Amino acid sequence: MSDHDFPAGEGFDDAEFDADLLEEELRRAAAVLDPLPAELLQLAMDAYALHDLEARVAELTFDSLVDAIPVRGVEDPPRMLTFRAGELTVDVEVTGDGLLGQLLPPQSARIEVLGGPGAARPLTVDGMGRFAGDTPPAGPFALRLRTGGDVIVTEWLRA
Amino acid sequence: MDRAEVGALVQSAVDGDAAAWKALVEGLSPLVWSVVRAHRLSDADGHEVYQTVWFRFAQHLGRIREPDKAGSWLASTARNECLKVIRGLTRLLPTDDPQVLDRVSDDRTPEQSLIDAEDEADEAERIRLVWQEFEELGDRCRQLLRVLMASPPPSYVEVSVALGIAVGSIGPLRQRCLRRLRARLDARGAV
Repeated sequence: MSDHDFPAGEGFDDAEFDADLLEEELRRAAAVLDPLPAELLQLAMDAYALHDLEARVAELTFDSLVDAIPVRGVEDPPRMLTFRAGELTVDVEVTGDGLLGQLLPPQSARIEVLGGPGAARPLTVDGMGRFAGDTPPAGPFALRLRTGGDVIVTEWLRA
Repeated sequence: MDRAEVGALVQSAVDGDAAAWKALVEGLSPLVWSVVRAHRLSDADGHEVYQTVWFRFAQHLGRIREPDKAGSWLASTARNECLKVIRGLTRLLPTDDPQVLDRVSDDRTPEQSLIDAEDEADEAERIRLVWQEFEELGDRCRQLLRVLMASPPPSYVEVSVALGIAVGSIGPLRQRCLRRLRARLDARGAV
């Protein structure tokens, strides 16, 4: 596999053979002692339903977890997220109490929180595109927006 | 997984072939899982990262620029999500203690069934020993080896994006880490 990393004639030949065997033993050990749980394999299979040709993807352009400087002394700061699809910006704030946000430019829309294939829960949205939900997303989530004739889904994220 | 094969499967899955998606999941799930495990997240966090990666892959399926590099796309997405979890933890916990991030899963798969079979007892013992010594290795070696031991084995490019290390250093690092593991096993008289 990595023969090219060690030029022949440097005495690595035996060691290399040994290394492959040991790696193979580790592979067997992992299969027994740290295997991929069957339910996770199934979830990935089912995720094919999330392949949606109709929807546009709103890309994550800001994530406070990555892009913000932590404030000392502030415990459990809200997670601030910004998604963008063309002209549309979606600002989202996730706290322990739920989720709220705003569409820019302001516009009415129908918005759902997705939690996986087949799991969707509507949010309340006002005429200015401000939205709120009183349950914080648990685990992976995405927002599906219907505005005008468009369907837009935010990039999947872990809350 | 062979890159040309991966590229063709991605294309078929984009076109609506559910069997192609299944083959992609079967072929590349072990890589995603290995990357998650290499970062030593809690079980709950690790499971969520794994799901997020696959949900996002399904979402981006038709937009992935280089379908034959889907393995690298998955590995790098998994790494980024793992690093986010670790950042979130350090932000919540006022500690620099790496032990906090070093939580090992409690619910190990019981190896009981394997041990029950008498003729496989030696193999089970050996495997447990190898795993024990593997877990005692330093962070860097443990991380590298955990990704390398995915089945099917990942490419070095996939390993590189999964861990943020240069392709050229993987071979020598692997060699050194396996030599260390071998030395630990030798020291326990388990040759």
